[in-house]
Amino acid sequence: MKGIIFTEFMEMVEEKFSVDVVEEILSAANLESNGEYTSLGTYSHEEVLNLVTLLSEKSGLEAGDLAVVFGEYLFGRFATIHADFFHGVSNGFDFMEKVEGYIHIEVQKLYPDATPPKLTCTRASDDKLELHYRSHRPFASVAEGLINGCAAHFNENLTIDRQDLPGVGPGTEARFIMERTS
Amino acid sequence: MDAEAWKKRYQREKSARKAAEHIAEEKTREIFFRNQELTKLAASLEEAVKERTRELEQQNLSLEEHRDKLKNQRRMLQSTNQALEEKAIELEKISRYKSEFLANVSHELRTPLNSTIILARLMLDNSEGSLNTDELHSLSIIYKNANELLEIIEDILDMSKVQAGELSIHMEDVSIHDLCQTLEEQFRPLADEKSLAFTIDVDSDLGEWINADRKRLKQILKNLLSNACKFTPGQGRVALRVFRDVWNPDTDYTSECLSFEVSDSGIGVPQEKQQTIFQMFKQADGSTSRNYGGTGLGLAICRKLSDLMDASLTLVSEKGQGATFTLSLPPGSLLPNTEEHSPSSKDNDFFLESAGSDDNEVVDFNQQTVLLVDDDLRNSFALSQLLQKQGLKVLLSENGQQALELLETERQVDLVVLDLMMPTMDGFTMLEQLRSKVDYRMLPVIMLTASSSAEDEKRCRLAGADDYLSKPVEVSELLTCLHRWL
Repeated sequence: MKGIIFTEFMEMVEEKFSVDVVEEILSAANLESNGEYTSLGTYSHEEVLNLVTLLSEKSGLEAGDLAVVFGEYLFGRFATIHADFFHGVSNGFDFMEKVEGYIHIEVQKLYPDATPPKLTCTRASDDKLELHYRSHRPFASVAEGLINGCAAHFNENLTIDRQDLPGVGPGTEARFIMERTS
Repeated sequence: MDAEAWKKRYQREKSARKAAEHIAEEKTREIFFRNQELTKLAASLEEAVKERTRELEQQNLSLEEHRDKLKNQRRMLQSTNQALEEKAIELEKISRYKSEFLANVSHELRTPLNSTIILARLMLDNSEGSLNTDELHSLSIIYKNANELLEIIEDILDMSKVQAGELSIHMEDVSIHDLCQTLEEQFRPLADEKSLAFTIDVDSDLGEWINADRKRLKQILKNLLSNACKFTPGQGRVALRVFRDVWNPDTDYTSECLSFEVSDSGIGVPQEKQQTIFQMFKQADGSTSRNYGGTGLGLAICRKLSDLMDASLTLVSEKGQGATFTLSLPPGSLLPNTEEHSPSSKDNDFFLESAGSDDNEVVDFNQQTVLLVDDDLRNSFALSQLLQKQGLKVLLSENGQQALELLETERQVDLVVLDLMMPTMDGFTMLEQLRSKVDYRMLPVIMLTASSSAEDEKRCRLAGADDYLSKPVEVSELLTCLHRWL
């Protein structure tokens, strides 16, 4: 998994909790990488799952909820770092539809070894979109958070019906049926 | 360091890390694009190479097609050439057959004509005075017509020889005086008959001798004079002029040559016909043959003979204004004017003919015996009649074998007149056998043959013939020849 997920996760914990919490969960995790992340590196996604679990234990919040929050946070960061992806895109559905065919391809240009999730969008109507998520990583909740972040970015109200699918394990595949209400 | 300072330092380091990450990402992106450009360039190069390869292949293909086409064309040309060659060989063969056929036919025609002419001539002499004027007139017509027929046959034979490439030229020294005298004798009576003013004029600055083919030169001049007489109406004018002329007048390389100019005041030849009349079987127009007769071969033969002698034969004429034919012999024909030719030169045809034609000079023989060997009985009969009249005894044999047997029993033979082509034993074989016997080594033998080839004459003379006459022989010529050996 790309290093930016790790660095941004650390940033979020630092921001939402504290530097001390970061140090605490890092030392508790006993990571292979020793937590020396850079956005350019590639690290095992087990590490971030491990950190989320430790943060859940520490904060008493649900791991799944933390993942969703992280997703929302991550989207906001992307919007800041990669503002160019948003040029000429006026709503969330349009952006989501661009992710697979544009953004993931751009990612692969920079990191040929990257393995982003497979996203398939089906537009039922102008205001209704079905997004199918599939990955070898159990990050469906992060995806959900990203969708929330997207709606927030475009200042939209979405109802999201998440249906978990079996995939290669829990959290690896899900269907999000979204309806725009405003 | 207190916590605040550590925090600042941590923030600084984090910012530095992010900046480094950003730079690295930019660099990676740049590398990606560079890579992409390189890949594109490589692809376009590859495409260009492919395109060029395709073009080359196409060119190769069209070159191959072109080559194949050329090969095909060459093959076609070769086969056409071959077909043409075969055709040429075939045509040559046909032409040769035609020439041989014409030569054979002419030979077959000449032999009976020979005896007709001799017998008519004999009867015309009317030595016993038994023929009346009408009979003599009829005979003279027979004699004249037979001679005309002979001339036509001679023309056809000459033409076939020319076509077969068998006609050759024999240069020798010829006396202009004798030549002109012969022509004068031959054409004077004809001119007188039509009341034509006939003149032969030899320029005084010419020597006596020229170098030419006597027979062919005479043949051309006879033909031209005969045409002139034929196409000039009564009271007209026919002239032969012999003079020094300019050779190659139209070029920078001129020299002196000898010209024979035959001019007349006759019907002339229209401009547009002046080339065609030199072609075979062509006359000035279709009516010429009806009005004046002739085969249309005469001038064609003259032109061919003139070419063979490297001479030039030209015509200047206008319709109704007469015609002037000029035969110019090449510069080598003019000989320096010296006297040394004279003594030996008397021994030539012109002299003998002119002398022989004078009947007064022919004296009767003294009952010498002549053996006449000829398979053509008409010919033998005609000749024996002629010779007996001249006071000779004549023995006849039909072939060489018979003649040799006759010589065994009849030893009183003073001369042999021997035909060349005969069945059982030909004249040539007989001559060889005769000369192999001591008794007959000195016996005069005159070969007489319808073959007019120079090769045959040479062969006969080598085998021991004393003289060689070709049929049809002129009476005077034969008698002169006999006088020489008896």
